[in-house]
Amino acid sequence: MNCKESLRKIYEFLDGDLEKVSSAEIEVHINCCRHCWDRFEFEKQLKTLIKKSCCKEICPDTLRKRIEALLDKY
Amino acid sequence: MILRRERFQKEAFPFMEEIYASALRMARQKENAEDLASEVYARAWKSYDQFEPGTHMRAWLYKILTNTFINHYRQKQRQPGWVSLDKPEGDPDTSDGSSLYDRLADASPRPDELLANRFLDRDLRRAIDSLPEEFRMAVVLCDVQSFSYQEAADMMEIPIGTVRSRLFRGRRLLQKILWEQAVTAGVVNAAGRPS
Repeated sequence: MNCKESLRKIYEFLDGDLEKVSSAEIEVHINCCRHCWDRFEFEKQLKTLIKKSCCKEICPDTLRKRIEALLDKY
Repeated sequence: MILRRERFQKEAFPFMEEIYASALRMARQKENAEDLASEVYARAWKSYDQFEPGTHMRAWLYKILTNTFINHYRQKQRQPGWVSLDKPEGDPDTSDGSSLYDRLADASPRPDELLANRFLDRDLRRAIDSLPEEFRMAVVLCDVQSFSYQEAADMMEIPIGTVRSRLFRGRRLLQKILWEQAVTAGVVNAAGRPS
C-alpha cells in the first residue's frame, strides 16, 4: 500500500466499507505514514463536524400538529 | 384502529426530528422541508400495513423520504438542460485538486485546528446546501445519518459504486466550497495562508 492507494481508499476505510484485508492494509499504512495519518484524522474530523452541524434542527410544532392531523385524515 | 395509530406513533414519531433535519438538508428551504417530512409520514401511515414488524422503522422512513424527494427531483431532471453528474465509470475521481486538506497543508494553524475553530455549524450547513442534489443526498444519508453505502444505495435505488463515487465527489466539492467560504471570510488568503 502506498500513499496514492491509501488516499484513494481513505473514505471507504473511514466509512467502514472496506473488506477486512484491505482495511488492515490501509490501517498499517496510515499508522506508519504521517501524511496519510494527518489526512485521515482531518477527514474523520470533517465527517464528525458535518454530522454535528445538521443534527440541531428543531422540528417545528406546526409540523408535529400537521402530521398528527394526517393520521386522522387517512 | 386506535391501537394501530398508537403503535405507529410509538414507532415512527421518535424519528420526526431527524427526518425533518434530513428533509431540510435535501429540500433546503423550511417550507419545502415541512411539506416533504409531512408527505413522508402521510405515506408511511397509509402504507403502515406493509411495514414488517421487527424491521427498522428508521430505514423504512428514510427510504420513503429518499423516494419522495427523488420523485420531485426527477421531475426537475426532465427539464431541458439537465445533465447527470454521475460519471460513466463507478471508480471515484482520485484527483486531489480540490481537497481542503491539501489547500491548507502548509498553513498555520494546521488544517485540523482551522477546521475546528473557524468553521461554524452554519458554514457547514451552507456548504452542504450548495452541493448538487445527487451529491447532497449521498452526504446526508452517509455522513449525516451514518447509513452504510449499501443502505444508501438501496434507498436511492442506484448501484453501490455510484454511491461511493457521489460521496467521494460530494465530499471533495464540499471541501472546495468550505475553502472558498474561508477565503471570502478572510480566514485564509487564496495562497492558503491564514490572513
